Amino acid sequence: MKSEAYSRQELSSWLPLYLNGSLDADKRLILESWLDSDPQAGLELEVWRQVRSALASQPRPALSQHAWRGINQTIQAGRPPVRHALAGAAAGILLAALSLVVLWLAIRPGVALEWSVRESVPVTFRIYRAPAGGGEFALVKELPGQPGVSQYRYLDMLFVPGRAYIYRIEAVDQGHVLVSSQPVISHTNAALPGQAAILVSSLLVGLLAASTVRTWRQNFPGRQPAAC
Amino acid sequence: MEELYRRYSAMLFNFLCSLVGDPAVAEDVLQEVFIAVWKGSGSFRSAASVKTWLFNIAYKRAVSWLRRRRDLPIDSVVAGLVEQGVETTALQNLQIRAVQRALMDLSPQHRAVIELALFFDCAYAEIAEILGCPVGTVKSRMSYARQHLQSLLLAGGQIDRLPE
Repeated sequence: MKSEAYSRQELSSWLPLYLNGSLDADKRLILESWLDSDPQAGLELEVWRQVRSALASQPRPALSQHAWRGINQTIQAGRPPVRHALAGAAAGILLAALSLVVLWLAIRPGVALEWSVRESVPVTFRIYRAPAGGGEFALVKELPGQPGVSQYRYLDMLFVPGRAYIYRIEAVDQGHVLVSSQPVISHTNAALPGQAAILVSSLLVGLLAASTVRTWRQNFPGRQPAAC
Repeated sequence: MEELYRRYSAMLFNFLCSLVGDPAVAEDVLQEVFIAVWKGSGSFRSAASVKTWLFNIAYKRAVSWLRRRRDLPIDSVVAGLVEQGVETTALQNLQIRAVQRALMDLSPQHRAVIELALFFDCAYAEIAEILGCPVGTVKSRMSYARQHLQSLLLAGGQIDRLPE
């Protein structure tokens, strides 16, 4: 491509880039051909050469050694609020999650199914569940029978809140269904207060932890609480 | 932060000196730059280079300082730097001093594009990002600065006029 393909203004704008080395090879060739053909271009390049030379030889004051000390003192004197907030949020999320797990495992809110066997204990109990009002039964759990144990219990904690379910239990021995229970219907609303209480408690624990950590870091910037 | 300071403080200080014209002020502005960086390190966009990001903050801080000092004519602000240069480089040739003085005649915005292009060797796209303006504005500032310097250098005989 030749220099005629570019406007004079565009070619002129390339001259400083030609001197600082950031002009690509193709444009360099085009510019050099323009410089050969246009004496005014040579004059413009000479202006930039002199400017570059003047800038290079201009005395540059040295930065004092105290400058970093001033910055460092400012940094040490106060930590920006965003860091406190982030530390508080991290501590809050961590403690809220921990509290949620502990409370959930301790309280175990859910739909409880209880049944008993009178005679020989089957090898396995199969628990099926279907949404009330229609839908296929699906196996939700297999529980092994235990010799000498006649009372059994299963707690279903994985369900859509507010929905009703139909449960059915099968006693299975060596692959054969010995007996199948009558379907029972249960509404999960009974488990909702427990679940809501756990969620709210965990949230409060998290908020309290976030606030405590943030306040601690603001008041004691040099010391960090053990939780972080 | 200390690593950033160690790597970029000298070049940022040079850039700030050329904009505000007073090393003591440049040092104060440099401190503001690094404190701003420390407070808002989250604002760094990975698409930009660290150098461009720092120069952008430095430029904005310098322009802000110049606006606050609007009561002082810019020429008197930058005169200190020129005089300091003259004193410490008494043996330098007159031509270079003439160009340095001509540069000081330009506005800080025009000096900034020239410094970035011809002292810090930045490409136009990088300069545009630092100054927060379109590449076209960078080119037009360069063009204006060149015409201004060319006329001063021709008048002073530092460059030869083309034969008619």
